[in-house]
Amino acid sequence: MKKQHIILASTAVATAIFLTACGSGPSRFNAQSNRGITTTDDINFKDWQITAEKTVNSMLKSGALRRPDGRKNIVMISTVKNSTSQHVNTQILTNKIRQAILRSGLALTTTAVSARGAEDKASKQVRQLEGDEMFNQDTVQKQGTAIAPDMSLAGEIVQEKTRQGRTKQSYFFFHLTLTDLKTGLAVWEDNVEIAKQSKKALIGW
Amino acid sequence: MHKEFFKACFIFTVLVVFCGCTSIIDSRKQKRELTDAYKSGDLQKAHQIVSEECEDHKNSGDSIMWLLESGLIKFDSGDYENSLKAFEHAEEKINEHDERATINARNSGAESGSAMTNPTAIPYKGLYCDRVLLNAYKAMTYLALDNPDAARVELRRMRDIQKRIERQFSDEIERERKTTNAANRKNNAQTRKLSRMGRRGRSGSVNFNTLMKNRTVKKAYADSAKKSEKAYGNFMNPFSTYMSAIGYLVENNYNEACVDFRNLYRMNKNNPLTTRDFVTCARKIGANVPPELRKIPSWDYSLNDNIVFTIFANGHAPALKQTKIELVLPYVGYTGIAFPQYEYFKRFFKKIVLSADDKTHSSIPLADMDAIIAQEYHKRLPTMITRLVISYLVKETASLVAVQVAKQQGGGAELIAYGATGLYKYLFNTADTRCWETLPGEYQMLHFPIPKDRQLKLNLSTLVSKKEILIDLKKDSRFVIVYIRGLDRKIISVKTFEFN
Amino acid sequence: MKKSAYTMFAALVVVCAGCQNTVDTLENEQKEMKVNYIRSKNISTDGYLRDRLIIDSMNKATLPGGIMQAQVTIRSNRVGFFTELWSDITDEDPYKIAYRFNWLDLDGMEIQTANSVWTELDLIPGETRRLQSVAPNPRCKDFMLSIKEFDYK
Repeated sequence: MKKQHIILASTAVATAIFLTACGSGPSRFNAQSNRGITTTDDINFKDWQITAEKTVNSMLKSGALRRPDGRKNIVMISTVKNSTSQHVNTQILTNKIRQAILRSGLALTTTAVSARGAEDKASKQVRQLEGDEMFNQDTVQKQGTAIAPDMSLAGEIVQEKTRQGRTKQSYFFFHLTLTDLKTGLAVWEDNVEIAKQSKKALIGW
Repeated sequence: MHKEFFKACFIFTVLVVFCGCTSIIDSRKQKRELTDAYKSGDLQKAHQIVSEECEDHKNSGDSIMWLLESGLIKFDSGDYENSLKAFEHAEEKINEHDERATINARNSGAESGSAMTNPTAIPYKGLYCDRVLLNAYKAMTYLALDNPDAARVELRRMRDIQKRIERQFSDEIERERKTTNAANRKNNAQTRKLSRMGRRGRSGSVNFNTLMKNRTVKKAYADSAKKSEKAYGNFMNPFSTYMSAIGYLVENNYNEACVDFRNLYRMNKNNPLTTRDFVTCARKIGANVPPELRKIPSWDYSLNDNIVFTIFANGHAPALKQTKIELVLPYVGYTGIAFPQYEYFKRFFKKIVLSADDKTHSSIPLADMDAIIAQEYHKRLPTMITRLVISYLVKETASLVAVQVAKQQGGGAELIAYGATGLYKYLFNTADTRCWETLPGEYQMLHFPIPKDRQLKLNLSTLVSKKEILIDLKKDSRFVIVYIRGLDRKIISVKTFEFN
Repeated sequence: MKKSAYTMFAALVVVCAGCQNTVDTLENEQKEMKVNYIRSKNISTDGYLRDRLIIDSMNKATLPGGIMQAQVTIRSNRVGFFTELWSDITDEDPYKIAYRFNWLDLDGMEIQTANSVWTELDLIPGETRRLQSVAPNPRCKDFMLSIKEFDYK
């Protein structure tokens, strides 16, 4: 009888330890690694990274950013249209791309104009200081000095959802274009496809 | 004896605690104060009550119902941020139910809870039509918060759900019907067992057929069948389809809008508004116009520029109320089973009339929620009846066993057992009347070009205290959606969502 | 009794191995392309990966803007009866790997970009894939490729 009690007690303790071991406290991990949560319905950070990696490689390779006259192109970031059924912040993608454009040294990006107004409102604000007695007027930025963009980066993200039985699937299609604003022609276009699938458990909690 | 008694008390307490209060007081009664406030147009009071109730029912099985009510009341009272929070929370909870394993411990637990008590032990997951409207209202809330991009996301979710309802959920109901058939066979066997346990060796009992033959149930079944005759195909909701079309028109996507209008035409071939919308759209993209519609002229204005779409949300959606099915059974005597039945409400307004630029435009009925909800009720009724039978049998068996055990103990225990089991059966004889009560009973729609003076006048009939309501539009808006909520003799809110 | 058990096992093995598809390749023998091959220095710490994945070649090209592009050709070596059987049992078909390019500038400093993230790749047995990366700017001339078996780390 006693032996049984001991077995029972130790089983209970073991179970308790096992269940506690299932959880884990908060921890930091490398955002460049393959860790992180993957969900079928959403665009996870890894998906943004993969998309950015592929599009940046493709854009630099295309040579579309270069100008024959030696001057650097100015690129503005227009909108990446969200045609998915998730609320996403497409700036994660565009910011990664604009940073790569700038770092390549082939072109410059502007923050003074974008599809949703200026990214950095300061370029406009400082010009309102003209005539402000507080400021040395020689140091105030003059009107007509900002440079207008030559190119614009835009795109669209499309999501297609399918379900069959317990399996559900999402297909994300990221499409990006770089348009020469002078001619309105696309000088570079590329897309990245990401497909995800998950199956609902048959038996569970 | 004492031990047994305490055990019984303990189980009883556990049941009450875990099943939530709707297992004893039906939700229609619980919500009376709220719905009275809402229906009398006292949105401030309704807002306050619903906020408190949501907090109280945060973790109960009824939380989705409270959140839906909360979202809509807050939307009507113009508290968009909190409305969005409530809707979002409800959506999260619904999705959480969807993501559960096909066979999962929580659902099985709820089913056994429902057998021991009543169907309210099963968490409320919202009707299919609730899910569609949830995203439709979320879209409008985002419009109110001046975030059209997010509104488009919600419209896309709404379309996804609608698609799933058509394909998947009708299968789900079919599957449920099959499981209930199996359960019914098991129930019949148990009924016979129960009869053998009865005092005189024989006892009258209940099965699926006795209940379906009952007058009240039969009437409810027939009523819902009659109401759903007006429904628009398989779980279709013309209002959400129209919202989807508006979403496409804003995006300048006539192709997809035309698909929606074609579906609307299929749902109701006699609706003058949607038919003409369909014809206009089809001609614009060069698609085929059905021969019977060739004579119908297109609208003489653009459907996606300089236009006002007006949605009139009219009256009250049907609400479930508890009815006791009275059964007289041999040897057992009188038995009452609580049964949920829809109550339909009359609508005060037939239509609304808006004047713009000295022209009057009246609204045209688009979606009759009575029919849409009745259709779903009708399809779910057999499952509901089966659950009632299971619950009845489990409770009866438990009581019989308890009484017989008590009899063996002697010393008045039998009397206590009779009292206790009687109380148990009485308390848990509650119908599942959970539903989204603040929804309108009907959606009407109209559209016309934005007037030059950018002012609309809502003309009301003489029976309403206010004779007219003026709606001013912004100077530069090119696309306007007006949402008017009308209750009995009152217009409780007028909202305009405008964009360029 | 024992004999039939052996036969059953053998049959199962054949069936399992038969389930797996490998990739056959065919290419023109006389090449038109002028490939700028690079000699590579390989440091391998994962014996399994070394056996399963073969690095065929590395080559580079300079794009018009002076930007360098690198390409590494890899081939999955998971062919052969027992290898295929094993990868079938362990559910490692397709073989999942992750790779990352790091670019170094003329001073040997690493340049962090959107490209320096671990990227997943599925390989069917016998399949040849070419991993490509473009230098983040014209000053980057050297690179390093890291490859590992895919895991959620």
